[in-house]
This record gives sequence, structure tokens and C-alpha cells, in this order.
Amino acid sequence: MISAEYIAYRIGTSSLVLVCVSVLTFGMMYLTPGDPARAILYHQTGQQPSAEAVTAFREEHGFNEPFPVQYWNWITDIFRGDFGTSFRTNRPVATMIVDAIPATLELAIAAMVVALVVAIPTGVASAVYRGTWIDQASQLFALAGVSMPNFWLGYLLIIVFALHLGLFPVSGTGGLSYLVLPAIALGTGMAAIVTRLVRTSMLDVLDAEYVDTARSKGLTERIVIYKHALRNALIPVITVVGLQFGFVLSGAVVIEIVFQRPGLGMMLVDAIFARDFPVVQGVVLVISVLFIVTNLLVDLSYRVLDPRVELGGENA
Amino acid sequence: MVGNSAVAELRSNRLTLVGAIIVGILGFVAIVGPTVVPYDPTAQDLSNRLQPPSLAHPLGTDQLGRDVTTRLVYGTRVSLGIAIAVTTIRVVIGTIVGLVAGYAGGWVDELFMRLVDIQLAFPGLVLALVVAGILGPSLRNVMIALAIVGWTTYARVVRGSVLSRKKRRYVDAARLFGTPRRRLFKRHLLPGVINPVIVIATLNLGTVVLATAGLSFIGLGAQPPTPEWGTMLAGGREYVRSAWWIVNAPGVAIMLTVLGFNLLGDGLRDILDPKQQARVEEV
Amino acid sequence: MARSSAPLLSVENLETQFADSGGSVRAVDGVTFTVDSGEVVGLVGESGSGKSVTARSIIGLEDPGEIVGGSIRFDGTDLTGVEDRIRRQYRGDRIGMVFQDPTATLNPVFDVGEQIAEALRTHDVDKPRLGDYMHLPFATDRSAWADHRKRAIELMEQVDIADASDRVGDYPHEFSGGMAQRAMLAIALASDPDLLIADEPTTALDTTTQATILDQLDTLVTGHDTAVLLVTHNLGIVAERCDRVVVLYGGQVMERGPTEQVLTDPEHPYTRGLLECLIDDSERQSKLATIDGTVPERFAETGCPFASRCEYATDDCHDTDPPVVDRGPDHEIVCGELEAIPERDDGSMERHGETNDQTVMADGRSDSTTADTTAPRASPDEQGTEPIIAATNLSKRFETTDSWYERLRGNQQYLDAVEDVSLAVNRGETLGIVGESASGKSTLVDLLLGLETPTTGQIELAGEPVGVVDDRSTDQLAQVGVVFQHTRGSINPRATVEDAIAEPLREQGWDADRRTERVEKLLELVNLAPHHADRRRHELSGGQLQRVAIARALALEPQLVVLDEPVSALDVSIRAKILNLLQELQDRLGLTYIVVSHNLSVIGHIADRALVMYAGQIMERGPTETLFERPSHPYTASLLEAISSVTSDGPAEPLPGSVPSAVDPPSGCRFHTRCPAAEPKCEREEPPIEQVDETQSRCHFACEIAADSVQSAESVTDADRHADEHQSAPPTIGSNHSKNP
Repeated sequence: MISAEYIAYRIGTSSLVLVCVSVLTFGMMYLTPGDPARAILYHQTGQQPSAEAVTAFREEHGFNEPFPVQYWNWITDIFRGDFGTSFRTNRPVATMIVDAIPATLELAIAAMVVALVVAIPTGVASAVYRGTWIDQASQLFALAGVSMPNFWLGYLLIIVFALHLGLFPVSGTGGLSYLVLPAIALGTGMAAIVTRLVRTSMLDVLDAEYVDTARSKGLTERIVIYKHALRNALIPVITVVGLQFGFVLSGAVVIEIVFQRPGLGMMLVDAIFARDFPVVQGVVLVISVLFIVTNLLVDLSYRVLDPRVELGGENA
Repeated sequence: MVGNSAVAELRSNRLTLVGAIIVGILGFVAIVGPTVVPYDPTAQDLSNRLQPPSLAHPLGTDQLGRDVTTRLVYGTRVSLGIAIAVTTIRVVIGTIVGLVAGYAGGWVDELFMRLVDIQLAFPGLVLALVVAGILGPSLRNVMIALAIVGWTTYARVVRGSVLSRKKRRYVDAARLFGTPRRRLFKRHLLPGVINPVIVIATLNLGTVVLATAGLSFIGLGAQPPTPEWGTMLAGGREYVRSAWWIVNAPGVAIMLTVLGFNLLGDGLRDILDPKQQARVEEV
Repeated sequence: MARSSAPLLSVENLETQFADSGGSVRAVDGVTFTVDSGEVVGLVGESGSGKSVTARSIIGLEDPGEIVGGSIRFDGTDLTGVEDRIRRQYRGDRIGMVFQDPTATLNPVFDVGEQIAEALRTHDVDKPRLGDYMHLPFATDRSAWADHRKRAIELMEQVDIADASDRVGDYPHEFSGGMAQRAMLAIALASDPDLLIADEPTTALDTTTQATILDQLDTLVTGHDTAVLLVTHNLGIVAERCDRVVVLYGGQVMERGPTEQVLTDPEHPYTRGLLECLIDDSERQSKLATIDGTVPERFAETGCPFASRCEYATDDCHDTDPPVVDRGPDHEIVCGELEAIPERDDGSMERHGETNDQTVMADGRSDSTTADTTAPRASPDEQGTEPIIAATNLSKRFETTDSWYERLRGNQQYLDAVEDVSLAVNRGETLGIVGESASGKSTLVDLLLGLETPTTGQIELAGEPVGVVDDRSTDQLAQVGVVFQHTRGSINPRATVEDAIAEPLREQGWDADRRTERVEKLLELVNLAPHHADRRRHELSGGQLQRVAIARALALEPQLVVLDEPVSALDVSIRAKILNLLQELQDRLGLTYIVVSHNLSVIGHIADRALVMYAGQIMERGPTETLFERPSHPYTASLLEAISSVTSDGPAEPLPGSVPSAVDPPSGCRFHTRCPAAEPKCEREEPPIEQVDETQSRCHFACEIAADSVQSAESVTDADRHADEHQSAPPTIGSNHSKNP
């Protein structure tokens, strides 16, 4: 139920958003109080830079050009794969990002998987057994999950499973065992949110008449629930999962610090503290692209899942 | 169905009460607490560092010998203060944008909503992190950053509510009685907007507490020695093995606070805005 | 009908309850009836009668209610006593079910073919694989899948879905309501069940489609010896389709028996009341009979549930359960006071099929449940001819693409909701606007009210041109009152009744005292008690809300009141009361009405003149009497034939197809795709409006159609004359032969 034309249209609008996003990303540098060049040099050397040094720096990095020109140079370079050079490490930003991306993606995807694997069955059970202890337990889990800061949960997991039980490594990257605790720490919040959403959505759907139609055919309750109800209940959930990917990406920043995983998040935070603008701009752009692309995919899959959605453009 | 909903209502009301009590206690602690606690939240006492919980220090002392309980109490004030300030700014900006967009329609609506789209193209906390970081690490800048990224939810909900209400037949009926625009707005459109905003704002207070703590944990928010929960947690992370209380005391505090606001918000939604589905907040 | 020893279905003392905060609601409270093989049994009642819950209990869909007593024997097995697994085996396989709203009963995410195939699969395959069930292409047995698909197409052909092999892959939202209900029929009949339960199968459909679906149902079950339990509120459908009928009220059976006997000679006061409320053949603009009171939300634990509204009720009726009185073969009445109830005025209730009389719903008792005719209003011409509202060449075109991207590409689509409509309503008269869904009648109302801006055309109010609402002066606004279709939505949920009614007054600057005074008067005018003033909309019944809406419409003493589907959501007994109220108000206040309805009987009863709309255009207009007796447009004729009525000959005549899409209307005459009299010319040329006697008709063959309908109406007019004689004859109470032994 999806036309090439619609895909082209969505890619078009997403690109437009991306252009705006890139302008903002690039312009963020100018949020720095005072002169960015001075701030950068100050951070690099730890002392007030001389006027000559500032001038030279400005010259070297094209800070004297008008903003549109600066932006144009930056963005065209990016299209050539050149994200600039880190002020701090003098390595190409592109290389740094390529090195850091797998750790972050791995974490984000693992967290999403954990979240969905937990949330969908829990939410369904909660709705089907509404009002029973199953429902109450899963709602309690959802409440706790939503309320718990993920970085604290990370430490709790470290204390229990790494330090006391010794089941998993405390920090770092490596095999699957390094991924388990961070993925749980990061995925729990999302699992809680999705559980609640699946429950609400499922309760709505279970009231729908087509569920009774399915029953009137003599289908078993399991098929009524998993085929007829769940398929419909997941439609609103899908959109949220896309938005939640942003939540997961944001959370990854914190979780990477907790578990000392060298990923985009750690890189971003280090760069922010060091006023390493090329790195900050590069990472923010990459994260935004990841987010926009995910939502594009989610939107398209939504339209495959729900045949009612008309393919005429934006839906109010 | 009938029976179940009655039971559910009772239960949700009880939970709402629990939420209200938690929030009430937190408010009380934030206002009165600092005048009661015997210690100075920032006074270091290196001879007394990393003391486990005892009568003198119910939640022990931290790596610099400061009383954790005292710092938690002062931290309540910081967290709630920021949560209220940020949420207020978000509500004001978001509601105004939503009302204008929904009521005016046309290109104004188009413009505002595209702005929201662009805003939403950044994962919220990442944006807040960068903004706060570049402005310079401080609580004030965290507030600004969080306010910037959070208003869009209100704008969208308020706009949606205005749009759907504009189509209601009772609004048509009012127009047919000759109700002037201003009164139409005040009597029929605005009341429908207020309830969802109250509900979202309550839930939002919790998420702002979480986000503030998160940013402070990273080091972008409150700076040591300010007694802030996220900073406290960050300070204790070297000692998780030996002094578990330093990390867990603020952790529990944050969780209880967020839980309180969530319970209260859910309860308010059931009462004020029953049709609204679980709304999902990002930041 | 030959009765075998044991009935196919035997429901005995069934009790189904729902838990509620205030205890349990006894939705079904001891219902007993049987259905034999091949028989059509009607289960009738108003809302709250428990008819749907009874039907759902049989198939095991009573949840969240609970069967707490009685038995449901199906072919010898008590379904209430077996475990769920066994009960489920009966569902779909031996008992099929069709529900009310076909747009909600089909699953939106599976194509129609799959949903039919699934019904086949459930009982065909012993151990279906998970993939078959979950509809996952990679895990499906392809050959079985293809086989079921093929049989689904056959079933679709059986229920007359055109191009079945093309449409098998369509999703429910691509089907019209009638089509979707056919698909539902295909599902219910997939495994050739012994019993089909149809729960209000046509209520959500357009009039012209209703008869088609019912015919379809008839065709499908005859020959298969399938029994049908037809749940409906529509006595006309019962009269036409059912062998026997069970009348429910408050979860209990009031009367059951052969349809003819029950409908022609009802004995239970409730059955009588129901029949008397019908508009069907009552004198135009006469006062309709009503039943006192409204259906209570909770029924008393003991006694007859109808006692609180029954004029013959004694203390015994309230205190003890009424006895079952046997009235010959299969005819039972649950009433303890039958002796006290006077005999019906005999002739009025004879069915047309038996005598040659057309029946009239009126008898001569002077109490509240009787009809008494009011003097007919002065005809419009006697009241001066200045129209209060006039519209010329009104059109409304909507853009159906709201994406700027599509607009840029020039993919603009339009929907002509209203096209070139002119009308004028004179003071004191009632104009009826009739049409099915998508006919444009609601848009026309919005245009007249000024809620939509006309694309072209002009509206004049009392001789002065007016614009949209915002441009109308307060005086102009005060001249028009309105009662919106879904009354509940037209009243702010936060407002009390007093607030709601006073709202227009406040806008006109009345002070608080005058407002209160006026509200009191208005409440009295619409027969509401003063204490209703403090209620909010969720505390009111449908009928009460309608009264509030009418009161509000009258607040500013308008001359014109626009009523959009004023009675369509109401039960028969309430509908009669509201129609009576409207007529009474018109007489007292000299109001002018524009009444919009899809229900021809309502328009026929209340309107002086009528417009018949189809696909945005006026098809025919004229004085209601002429229009209904000698229609000069085939669409009007079809609409009239599609009405199910207690008193008409034979079943309603179906009209094939459905209202065409207004985005892409048919060429030539809009109606030619469904017209029984269409000729090639109709497809090419749009017909002009032709004057035939007093009516105007948009048909190439208007004169011929009119002539035909005069001939066929001969008998009807004859019957009318008879009816008139009955009407004018002095009413007699308890006269003629008594059916009581």
C-alpha cells in the first residue's frame, strides 16, 4: 500500500527538515557567550589567548567569512565526507564518528529490542487480564520503569550483577556480555512507556466490534488476541517507537558515561566540554540524521501496517 | 466492564492520593527542610568521609564527609524549583503557540507547525545537552535548554484540542447565537485546552526532574558543591563498591519524585481528561 | 409451519447481568423463547430492552456481562453448561452472527477475502498451523490458502458482491456500508450454519440498502433450512420478514407469538403502545400516540418492568411477577391485567394482507396513549407568500486534497457536496429535506445556517440577502433557531441545561433575572420539569436532550427553526412524543420548519413540502402528499418502496447499488447508475427540471414516471379513502368482535 511517489515525497520533506537541522546545528556554535574563537583557544590552552592567536585562529578556520559562506563550506565538505578536524585531537571528525558509531548503534538497537520484547507481551497481558494481579504487577513495573533515572538503574545493575554476582563486566565494550547491562539500563524506561501504551491501545481495540466478529467465527481467544487485536493495537505503538528512538539515543549518551562505553555519546560530551565544535556539530548532525531516518522508516512501515492511511501527503 | 472500571477508578484514585501525598511531602521538604536540618550541605568534613548510615547521619556521609540527608533535602529544593520554572516556561510558550496556530489556521498554523517539526527532528535530550553545554555548564543554562526543547508537546496538544473543538457542534451552535469571537474562545475553546495542559504539565514536572538530574550527572547542570541529586549521584560513582548509599540515596529520591508526579498526573488525567491516551514524553 | 418435536434453539429463563457500581444490572431477566429450523424469529424492543444482550448471550459474547441463570439449548446441548472450548465450536460453525455496523465489524487491517477465508479455515482445518492463523505469508500453506481464497470469492459472489475476484483483496474501508454488510453475511454463512443471529443488521445502512440486505439474507437462508433470529427495533422489518416475534421490554418477554397475530392483534399494553406510536400510516400532521414516561435505567426487582409506564398497572403489577397468559398456539402474553384492558378498535389494526383495508394507527381513547387529531394547519398559501428564507443556485464545492504537495502538482480534487440548489420556505410551513447519506443534505443545512460559505449562490432571510454567520446581524441570527443532528454534541458538556438554554439569551444581552424567567418558560414549553435546569448533558436521556435542544432553538423566538435529523436517534415511543411536540409548538408559535431527515416517514408525517436530494442535487420537489403518492422521479419512487412497514403489502423493494462518490459523479443523470428506468439518454444528458403537476422532477421521463405511479398508487389512494373513513368515524371503544375467549 505504498507508492514510490509517496516515498519520494517523504524523503523530500525529511530532507527539507534536515537542511534546517543542519543550519541550526552549525549555528549552535554561536550560542557560546562571547567570541567562539576565543573560547575555543581558551579551552585548548587553559589561558587567555593573545589577540594575534585569536586572529590567526579565525583566519585558519574561516571564522571571518559571513555565516552563509561558512555554512556552505561546512555542508559541502560534509557531502564530500569531510566533517572537519577535531580541535582537540586533530583527527578527522569523520573517522572519529565512524569509530564511535558502532558502539552507540549496538547499544541503541539492543535497548530497543529489550524494550519491545518486554513491553509488548507485558502490555498485552496487562490488557487481557485487566484488573488482575498480572495487570497490577505490570502496571507497577511500568510506573517504576518510567520513574527511574536510567543512570541510577545502571549503577544498581552494576552493583548487583557485576560487583556482587560477577555475571557481567562492569564497563567497557567487547562481546555480548558487555552489552547486556547497558541495554537493560537503557531499555527499561522505553519498555515501561511502551508497556503502558500497548495496554491502553489494546484495551481500546478489545472493545472494538471486529474483535467480537472474530470471536463469532469460533476463533480461539489466543488468535482473536494475537491476530485480530494486537495487529490493530500496534498501529499507534509504532509511531511512538519511532519517537522513542530519540529517547534511546539521548539516553545512550548518559549510559555510555555510566558504563564507560566509547561511543557517540561520550564523544559528544567530551567535545562539548572542550569546545571542540567540529566534533559537536558532526555528532549532532549524525544523531539527527539517524533519528530522522528512523522516523521516516517508521512512518513508511506504519502505512504498510494500516491499510486505511491514505497516501496523499501529510496527515493532519 | 462496568464493574472493572469502578474498581479501576477506585484503585487509580488511591494511587492518585499516594502521588499527591508524595508531591505534598516533597513540597514540604523543599520549603521547610533546609531550615530544620542540622548540617551545612556544602561543609566538608574529611575526617568523617564515607560514613555508613548511622543515627547522626541517617543516610551516611559522602566522599567529602558531607551529610547525605542534608544534601538530599537541599537538593529537593533545587530539583522542584527547576522543574516548576522549566514547566512554567514550556506551558506558557507552548500554549500560546498552540492557541495561535489552532485558532488562526492557514499559513500561521503552517509556519508554527513546521517549526515544531524541525524541533522534533532533534532527539530532545541531545539538543538540551548541546545547548546547555555550549551556553556553559550551569543550572540556569540547563533551565533554558530544557525550556527550549520541551514546549512543542504543549503546542501540539493545544493546537489539536483547539482544532477539534472548533469542529464541535456546540461551537457552531454558539456562533449561531451570535457569540463574539473572544467569548467563543474563552467559553468553548479555552476550557478544553486547560485540562490536558494541566495533566501534561504534572507529568512533565517529573520528566524535567529526570532530565535535570541527567544533565547534572553528565556535569552540565549544577556544579559541585551545589547539592543537586544528579551531581550527588555523579560524585558517588567512584564509590559504588564501598559506599553504596551515596549513589542510591539520590537515586531513590529522584525516582520517588518522578513517581509522585506520574501518579498524580495519571490520576488527574483520569479525572480531567479521560479520553486522552497515555501521552509519551521524551524529555 | 411444521414443528418438529424439539426446537433448534430453546432459550429458557435466560438471565444475563452486568456488574455496576450500584449492584448488578439485570439486562436479560428471565427470557424464554424458541427458534425452529428454517424459521425467522424477530426479537424486538427499544433500547435497553435486552434484545442485543439476549442475542449475544446465545453465541457466547455476553462478556462483560455474565449469564447467571437459565439455559440455552441448541440442538439438544445446553450452551450455558459446557466449557468455553465446546461453546466456541458452535460459534461460526453452527451459529453465525451478523452485527449492526458493518464498518466497525470488519477488521480494518485484513483484506475482506482473508476475513471470509478465516471463517472457512476455522472449522475446516483440524490443526491449523500458526502461520495460517497469524496470516504470515511465509508460514502459510499456499495451496490451502489459495483454496480458501477461491471459496471466499465464491461466497462473495453468492452475496452479490460484484467483481468478487477483484474485490477479494480490498480492505473494509474500501467497501461501502452495504457491501461490507454483505461481506459480513458471507462470513456468517461461510460454514452453512443452522442458525443465523442478525443483530440490527440494517440499522446502520441507508434505506435503499436495507431492503437489499434483508432480501439477500432471505435468499441465502431459504433452501438451506437456516433459522434466523432477527434482532431489530423496526416493527416494519418484523412484519415483513418474521414468522414469529418476541417482544422484549426491560429484559423480559412481554408478548410472543406468530407475527401476524402479535402485530394485528397485540394484547400486551406495551406491544400496543409500540404499534400505535408508529408514524407509518397515521394521518399526516396528526398527533401521534405515545407511551407515557421513558425507559427507566434500572428496573424494579419484582413485578412487571413495564408497570411504571403502563396505564392499566395495578399494585399487583408492581409487586408480583406477571403471569404468562396463553392465547392459542404459540401466542403468549406476559401480563396480569389483560382483563382490564379494553379491546382494540378492531378495524384499525387489521393487517392489510388479510382485509383490503389500509390500517390506521389511531384509536379513539382519550387518555395519554391515544391519538387525537389536531385541526390541520392552514395551508401555506393562506398564510401569505413571502418566503422567510430563500436560496438561489446554492452550490458548495470542497477541496478534498489538503496537502500542499498535491496542490502543487495540480492533483486537486473537488467534491461537489451541493450543486445548484434553490429553495424558498414560506412562513408557517414545514419544508422537509430527504436524502440518504452523502446526498448533501447536511451541507445544505450548514449553508443555510451560514456555517459554510457557499461557493456560488445567494441566501435571503426575510427578503434580505445574508452572508455567513459572522456577517449576520444579531436580529438576523435571532430569526433562525437550530436543532443539530447529534444533540449530545451540540451542547457543551460543561454546561447545565439552564446555561445551555440561556446561552443565546446571554449573547443577546438579557440580564440574569429575565434569563431565568425565560428558561423556566422554555422548559415548560418543551414539557421539561424545572428541576431539569440543573442537569448536565450526560444526566439526560435522548428524548430529554432533544427537548433541551428544541428549547434552546426557541429561546430567541425565532421564526424559522432548522431541525437536522431531529428524531433519528430516538426510540419509537420517544420519537412520537418529539414529533408531537414539534407540531404543537408550530401551531402555538406559528413557526416555520426546515426538517432534514433520511427517514421518509418522518418527512411524510411532518412536512408540507419536501425536497428529495441525491448526490448533491435536488431530484424532486413538491407538496409532500403529491410527492409521496405520485412520485415523478424514479429515485423518490425507489425510496418509498424501500420502506419497511407494518402495514404495507409485501416486503420493501430494494434499490441496487449505493450513492455514488461525489468526487467523481456519474455522467448525465446522477441517478442513472441505479435507476430501474434508465435509458442510454440518461447516461449522456443531464436531465432538466421538469414540472409535473405540482412537483418538479429532474428526470427525462418525469411525466411517464408520474403517470405510472398514479396507476400503481390507485390502490393506495383507495386504501387512504378507507382510512379516512375510519378516521372520521366516531371512535368506538371495545366494540366489534372480541378476541378474548
